[in-house]
Amino acid sequence: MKRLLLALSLASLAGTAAAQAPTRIMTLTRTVKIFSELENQLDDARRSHDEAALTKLLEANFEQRNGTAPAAPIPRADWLAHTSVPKSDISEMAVHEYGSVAVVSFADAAQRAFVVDVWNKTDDHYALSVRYTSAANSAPQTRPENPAK
Amino acid sequence: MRFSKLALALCVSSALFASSTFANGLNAGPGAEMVPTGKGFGIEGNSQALDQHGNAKPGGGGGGTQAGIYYHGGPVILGTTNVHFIYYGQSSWPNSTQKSILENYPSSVGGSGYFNINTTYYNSSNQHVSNSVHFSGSVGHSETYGTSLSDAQIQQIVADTNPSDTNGVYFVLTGPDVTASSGFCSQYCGWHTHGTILGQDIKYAFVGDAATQCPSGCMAQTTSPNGDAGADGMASVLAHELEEAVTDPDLNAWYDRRGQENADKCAWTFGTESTASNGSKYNVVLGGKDYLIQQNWVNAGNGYCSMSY
Repeated sequence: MKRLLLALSLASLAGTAAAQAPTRIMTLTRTVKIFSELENQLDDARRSHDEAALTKLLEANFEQRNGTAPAAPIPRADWLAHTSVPKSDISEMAVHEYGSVAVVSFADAAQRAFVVDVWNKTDDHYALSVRYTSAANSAPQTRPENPAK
Repeated sequence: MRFSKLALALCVSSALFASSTFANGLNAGPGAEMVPTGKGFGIEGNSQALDQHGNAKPGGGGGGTQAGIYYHGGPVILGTTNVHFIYYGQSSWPNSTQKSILENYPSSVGGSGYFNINTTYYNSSNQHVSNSVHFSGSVGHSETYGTSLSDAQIQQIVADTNPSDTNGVYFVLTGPDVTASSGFCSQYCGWHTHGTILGQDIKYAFVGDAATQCPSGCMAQTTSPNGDAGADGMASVLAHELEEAVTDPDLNAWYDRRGQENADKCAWTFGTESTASNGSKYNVVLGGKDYLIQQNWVNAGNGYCSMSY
């Protein structure tokens, strides 16, 4: 069913092409690979209470903000105390770099959430500064086609 | 910090607003068979060709292996693979250096130990991919669709060249002023697919010049072994897409349980590197040129990333 939905969604984008634009298989960027590994390291460190790793990967003033309660951030200590969440299952990652800051978005199947992480680079390594999350259970949206040039 | 708070807020807000776009693919259950989606992850797919363990059923679309990648019944490209280039960009791109770097690769990779890795892949009749590549030439395409291309426009660029070679792969190679709006630089550096164009099943791919747009995302190094970092960076992505197009041209042949094709399993790994006189790194010499090309997955034994077979 998902393949069908995906195919229908992609087909709607192909108005100017000779045939429907099919699924394509991507070479992921180096930064997607790097931050996929960092996100997994952070998830493992959180579950295993690895303080040394957490000190390196998570900034002291880290907070998480959820779409359901945007004015009630979860501070670092509370976030770390809540470890009964399922292991992350990350996909569809995109990375945008802005100097020393990287904005990393992905879907987390385990949490059924869409996550946006802001990583800050200091002394040649990245640490997570803030996480924004929202539920990812809405109906899929099709992306508008590029306007005619 | 060079990144303004306003820009950060806008970026995060827009990303959260778009979250429902990413709802697809979140429900795969444990052990579900995944198929490539082009989004860098797998989704639940047709598992008819697989047994309960996720391996290919004997006689049901090809043989399974223990090499960590599985056959799903579709075709591979047999015999000589023809490579066609379509340059999309300003008239000054590519220059002679860039063209030489890019065209030397498909002109010389056939017969190499590197491309021989692809001969470990086969179809349902046990016919293996050949270690043979022919560069069929290049054409230029002016920037008639602008400098931010949708996937559909990239397919249209291929269609504009009247492609007819069903045993070939058509590469749309874009200049440094051109981006692809579906995620070039933020998600991907290139991609491959196929489509029915002028009544034929045409295999095609996209690879962009990342030198000025995202060198940290799509280039392994900023010092170039051949005098142009953008083209040298494109060569590795070109290699990636070519080996995937040969072993999974219709996206239904060889990939693993995560939906990763052969080159995906070794992306951004280079094995043993040497240092050129200008300090740049390379790991293979093809047609007299040094390249830093990613490794590819050998479908033999327990499977492994390598630069040769």
